[in-house]
This record gives sequence, C-alpha cells and structure tokens, in this order.
Amino acid sequence: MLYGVPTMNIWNRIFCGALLFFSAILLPWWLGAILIIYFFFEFNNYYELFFFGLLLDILYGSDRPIIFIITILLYIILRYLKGYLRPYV
Amino acid sequence: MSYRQDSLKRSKNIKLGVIYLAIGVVFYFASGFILSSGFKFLSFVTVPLWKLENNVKDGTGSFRSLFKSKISLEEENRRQTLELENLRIKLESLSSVKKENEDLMSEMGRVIPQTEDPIIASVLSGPNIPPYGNLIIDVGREQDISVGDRVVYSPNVVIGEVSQVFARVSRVKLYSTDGTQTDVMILADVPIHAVVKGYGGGNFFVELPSSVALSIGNEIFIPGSDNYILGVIDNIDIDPITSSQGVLIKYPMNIKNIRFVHVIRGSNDEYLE
Repeated sequence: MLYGVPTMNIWNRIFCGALLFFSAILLPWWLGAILIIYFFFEFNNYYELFFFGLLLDILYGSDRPIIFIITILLYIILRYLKGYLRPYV
Repeated sequence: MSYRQDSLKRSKNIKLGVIYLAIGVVFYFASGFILSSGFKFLSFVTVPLWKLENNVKDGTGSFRSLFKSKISLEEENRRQTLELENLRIKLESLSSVKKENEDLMSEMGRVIPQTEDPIIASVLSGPNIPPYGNLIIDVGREQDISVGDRVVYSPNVVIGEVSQVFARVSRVKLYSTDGTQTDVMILADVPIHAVVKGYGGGNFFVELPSSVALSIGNEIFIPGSDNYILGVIDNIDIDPITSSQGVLIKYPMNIKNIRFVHVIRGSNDEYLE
C-alpha cells in the first residue's frame, strides 16, 4: 500500500516513475537508489529500475553504460530477495 | 498439470533471458550512440532543470543570510575582502612571472602560439555520480567549443578537458576521473616528470621513489609553457619496505562546489591518456 491506495494503481506507478526521473536529475544518486529499492519491493515487475540506471548513464556517463549494467545485477539480487522475503511479510 | 506449468515457466524464462541478452548485445556495440543521442534528447528537459536548481541554490543562499547577525556578516565581509586582496596580489605576481617566462622563451627562439581564447562557462552539473567524473557546462558548438579544449578553474588550475560537445552544452572529463592518467611535472628539489592516476573526487595518486624529496603543499604542474597547476600534494605515505612513497594529490579547491570555469578554445591537451 502507498499512502492508503492499492499499490497496483497505475497512477501511483506513474507518479513514482516521475519522482525517480526528477531525482536522477536533481537529487543525489544515493537518494534515487533508496527510492528504487523501496519501489522495487512496493510494485511488481519494477522495470523502471533499468530506465533509472540508463538515465544516470545518459546524463552523467560518457561512452559505457556502467550504471545500467549495475542495475541489471541489482535487479537480479533484489528479485531474489523479494522472493525470499515475501513469505515473511 | 504441474509439468506443463513448469514447462511454460521455463520457456518464459528462456524468452526473457534471450531478450535481456539481445539488449545487452545492442548496448555493448551501440552504447556510445545511444548515450549521446539520449543526452541530446533529454537536454531539452535537464538543462533548464539544472539552471533552475542553480538559481534556487543562489536564492536560498541569500535567503539564509537574512538570518545571520549583522556582526557575523560584517566579519565575513571583512574576511572575504582580505582574501580577495591576497588573491589579487597573487594573480598579479603570476601574471608577471608568466610574462617573464614568455619573454625568456622568445629570447631562446621559441614562438608561443597565441591560440588561447577563453570563455566563461557555468557548471550545470558536477561530478555527483561515482564512477563518473564529468562536468556538464552550458557552452557548446554554438560557442565554438570543440573536443579537447582545456577547462580551467580560475586563475590557472586546469581541471579537465572537453570530451563531448553538443549544440549548447558540453561534457568535461575531469583529470581526476577514476583511472585517468595524466603527465605532470612535480616541483621538488629538481623538477620531476611523473604520471599521476585519477582516484575520483578531485584526488590523484602517484608512487615515487622515497629518495625524491617532497613536501605537503608542493604544486603539481601540467608540462608546457602555460604552467597550469593540476593540484597540490596533500599527503605523503612513505613505505620503508619498498623504498617508495605514495603521494596523494588534490585539486586546490573543492571540485564539487565550483560554479564557473574557463574553457580555453583552440587548446588541445596532449597529456591526457
């Protein structure tokens, strides 16, 4: 649940995506990383994580998508953690 | 039933794996094009947002001063005036040294090309994301900026060079970017040529023999007739076992707080590897 609204609400997801987009531009990277991890556990199939990594590479990187590759690894780790923690939530 | 569901799940995973692999291959071969095109597209949104962020920071800075006492503002004003006067004196002495150097070079028959054409640029975004050490500045092709132009923090601290140019913005690769190697001249008892390695965050590292006499505060120069400073020695760690010393060098200012830089149009840094 996010502010009392069912988490599968598409408008919530769009709002969170926009929040991530602006956090990549204006906020420190670690704040965006915390938001990403929170949203990953809040929503199903949170592929916006890849777009966040790609956005950071586009804005601040040069020729190699290093952060995008890190987000792929992060996705695999978080997906495993989510499956492992789900029975205990 | 269970076998069919497992089989469907397995085929779905295989399809997903193939999609991820295809995306990975595309990115591997076309990452430069995708990243630069993406930046061109996104700059219409990001550049105004960065400028707005800088304006808000300037505004809140002056708003905070409303809550400072008159006495503390006066003291700060006095301190900054004194610092400004010291910097002005230092700049004048540097100008005269530079002129003397140029005169000596001409007497020796060496012609110094007058190609420097500096332009002031505002820093839109600093080196905020590890492992990247790039600045985004608000000048680009329209201001005759080209790849390789040297970027200097006033008055003579060289911090990097332009690595990508777009229409109205450019990306500057800092010399302190992790892994970047730069040729330098260290002024010890005798001038020493060395190659320093960037460590990120405005830091450099070089390992030298312990017989070289160095001290904290020694300036590090980029070789050439311009005598641009790269940094100053911040820490020396002598290892008696290997008879070497690890030297940590830093920019003389906080690289994350700089707001304006000079771009030397027409320069080409030959010492960045």
